[in-house]
Amino acid sequence: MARTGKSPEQYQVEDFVTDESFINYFFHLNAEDTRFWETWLLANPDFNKSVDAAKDMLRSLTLTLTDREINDETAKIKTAIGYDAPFPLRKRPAIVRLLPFGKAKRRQKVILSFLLILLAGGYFLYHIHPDRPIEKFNNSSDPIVFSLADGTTVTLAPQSVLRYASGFGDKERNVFLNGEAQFDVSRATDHPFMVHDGDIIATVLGTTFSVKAPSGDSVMVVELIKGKLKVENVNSTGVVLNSIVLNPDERVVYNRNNHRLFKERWQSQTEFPAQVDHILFQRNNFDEIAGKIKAVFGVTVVNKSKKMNWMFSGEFENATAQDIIKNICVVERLNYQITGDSITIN
Amino acid sequence: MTVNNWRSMTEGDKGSFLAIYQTYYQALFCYGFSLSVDRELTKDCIQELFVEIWNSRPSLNKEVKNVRSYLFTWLRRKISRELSRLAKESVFNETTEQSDGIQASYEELLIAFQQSDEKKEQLRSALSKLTKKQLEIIKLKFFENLSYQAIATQKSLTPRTVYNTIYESIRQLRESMKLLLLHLMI
Repeated sequence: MARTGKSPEQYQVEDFVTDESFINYFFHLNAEDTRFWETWLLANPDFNKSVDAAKDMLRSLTLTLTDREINDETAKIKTAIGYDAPFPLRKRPAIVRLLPFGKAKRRQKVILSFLLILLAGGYFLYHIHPDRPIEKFNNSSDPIVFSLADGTTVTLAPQSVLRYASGFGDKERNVFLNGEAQFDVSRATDHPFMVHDGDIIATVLGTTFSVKAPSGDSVMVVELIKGKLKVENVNSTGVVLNSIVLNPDERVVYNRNNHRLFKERWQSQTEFPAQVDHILFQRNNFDEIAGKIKAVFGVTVVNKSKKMNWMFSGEFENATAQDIIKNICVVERLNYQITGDSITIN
Repeated sequence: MTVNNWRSMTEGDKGSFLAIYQTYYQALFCYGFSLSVDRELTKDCIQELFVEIWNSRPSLNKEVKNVRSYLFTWLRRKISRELSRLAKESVFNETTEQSDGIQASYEELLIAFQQSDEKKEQLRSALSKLTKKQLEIIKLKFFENLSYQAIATQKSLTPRTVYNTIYESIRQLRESMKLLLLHLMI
């Protein structure tokens, strides 16, 4: 990317300003550069000052409005046409970005080589369609909704990319995702709809589900809202390592670091409430209580204490998950600790 | 992509309308500002333009091939109408004459785009230290957004020379802006 042969860690302000990839990122010109620099900046906070100076310089040499000005104008036009966000994409679960930068680029290669192997092996009899692939990049700050040729509705989250052929082939309907999207797939049993995201393939037959995998993150989530869905992870030669079938209100969590795939229940309806009006436990053991708290608040409770043999009864009003666990711990003489959206009992 | 958005926009899809708005807003602003040299006027005209598009969507051509130039043309008409209206008013008010029809230079645009007098002065002084050739190449790179390769071809230079020229210009600009800042503080 840079002509100087330097890596970004050696950059001065001038190097950022003159780097074509950085310029593309500044002007939101393409998805790959945007993702690369966003990830890089997260990993290299020491460079914030130079990067800000570089952005100021680019702004001084162009007529670029600040994001705030553009957001203000966008808000005005939204009011003028009476626009409401089409589908509130759930907030991403707390995900730690811990991969080294450059990951985004590497992953592109993984997807690419994976495709080539499919073609060479003829494993899936991938049909080469003469249509040029379409790349849809959502560079706005709101989810965008659009339809594919088969009638499938896609809600694409900001800073996400979806690649697909303009017309689907005879067999599978393949789309390639980098980021987060929700799919409402039109039913066509002969033509399985397949979403590829790195080493994960979700195959569906008429269903609504969403895939969340911010590139650079180590965890991805596939959530099923209705229908039936098969989620597989494949190795670089296209061999299926794991396969899980999901029913509605179940989701798969995939850890890219250790390639583990596991299934859990989740609530598709709304965000979990922080507090509920009323909740009742009657002689429930730990597993029952943890299950109920997970279902009601979306909070995971883990028991790491040796004390397992207890039953708890209690009634709560206007309580949070923490209130309940705190109460139980007082009664059962236990301690607890909160990390993110999980509570550990010691 | 935008052709599909355009079509579904004319059929009343707000999401597509917004996607078009967000895709072209910055480019339209840039174009509008270089015609009007007026930040607020440009913003207002773009806003009006999109409201008009939305209100007249059923009667618009559904098969617009080049959405970008369609929008640019519409905005140009709007801004020149607005400018001539203002010019007429200023004749009655006997205020300073409107520099209508005269294209502002790149440097003038950049300075006019700055919002504080301090920043304007800082930029004016820094830009004045660059050579004509430096300014021209900077304009091609950042304003026209050409690649080093494209600029090299156009100017019969090597990409390396183009890159070095820009790198050196940025260094000089930063240097003189820093000096000026010191000067202002003393």
